[in-house]
Amino acid sequence: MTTSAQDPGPDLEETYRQHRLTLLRLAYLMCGSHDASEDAVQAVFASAHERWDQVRDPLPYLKRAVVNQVKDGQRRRFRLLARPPERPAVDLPPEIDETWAELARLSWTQRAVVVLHYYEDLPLTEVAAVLGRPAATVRSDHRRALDHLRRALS
Amino acid sequence: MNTLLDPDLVEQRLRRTLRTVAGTVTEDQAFGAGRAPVVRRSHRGRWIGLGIVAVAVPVTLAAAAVVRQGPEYVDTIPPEQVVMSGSVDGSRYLLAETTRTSCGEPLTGVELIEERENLLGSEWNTTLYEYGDTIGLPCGHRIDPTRYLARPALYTDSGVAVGDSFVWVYAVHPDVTGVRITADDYSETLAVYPVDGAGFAPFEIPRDLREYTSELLIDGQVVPGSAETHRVPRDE
Repeated sequence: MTTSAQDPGPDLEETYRQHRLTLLRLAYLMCGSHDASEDAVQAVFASAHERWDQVRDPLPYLKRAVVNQVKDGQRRRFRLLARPPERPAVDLPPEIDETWAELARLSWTQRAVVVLHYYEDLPLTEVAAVLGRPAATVRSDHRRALDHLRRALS
Repeated sequence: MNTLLDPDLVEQRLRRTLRTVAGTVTEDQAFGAGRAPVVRRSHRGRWIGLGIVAVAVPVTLAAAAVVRQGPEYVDTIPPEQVVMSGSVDGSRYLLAETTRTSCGEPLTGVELIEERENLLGSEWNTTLYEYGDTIGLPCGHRIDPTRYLARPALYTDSGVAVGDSFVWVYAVHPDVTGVRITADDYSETLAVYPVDGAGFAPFEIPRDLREYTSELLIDGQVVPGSAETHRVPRDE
């Protein structure tokens, strides 16, 4: 969607200040790495900077770009390894800790489906659109992820 | 025998976990204050200004070659930008001064370039190591080394898989002259290469090493507060 002459669109710096943390959180849930999240969000803003005048509705655009950036990093197998295991820097209740650890064991696609569906509250059809996968495949990813988690967390 | 969790309970637990973990990510805690983040930036297609020495020539990292035009493809590196080279299990790599820019300004630090990940004609796939705190900007980032320069015990470190093991790079205070690595029956002092007002020390992690301690040295003396134990991030 492009902006019109009457609507200059959102300011990039303001958008950055407003949404950076939201995007970092999404990226972190997707990849479990603070550094990779930082890289992904920085790359998204750097890329968006070049085409900002064409962005009308920034947050959905940026979220989708972050997902793709994280996915791209996975696909290209950068194999960059942070200090393992990266965990939240605060103590979490055991149940949360255990669930987070199991999420990290899912395949990247299953994890992305789970994050987009349960954190972003996207219907599976929209998850499929964001991930560029057929809806039936995403339903399968979702089912397999839940099956795994049901077994692992029981 | 365990009973499978009810699907509704799993979903509730997932939502709670994701929101809780997301809530732990804050600007102050995760990306700003405290010990500096590991500074690693994967890189494709942004390294510019390369000239003479081909990275991916399989005969020698110092051999001259001209490959493809354009900053996004594996091209050539002037020899004066090459800091050091090494190999892990036959996989060769080098450290070279970065020529990347961010927000129109040159960055400082080194790139780790693995030969087999940067074959001629492919896109660059290198890792940038920088020294200091990362300051995020809408157009990219910049590095502020002030806090690090005031405390020689501070450093950043991170690694990348090379061959069957890893090369771990320490970015240290310019006064640091060595990084001592010790494990049960292992000891090595890493050489420090000065680049852009910082020191960079690559550690080729032996394949059988699982855990080790690193200490920064200045003229043979351990920098107080610099010792840290690391576990090697192997998959198994």
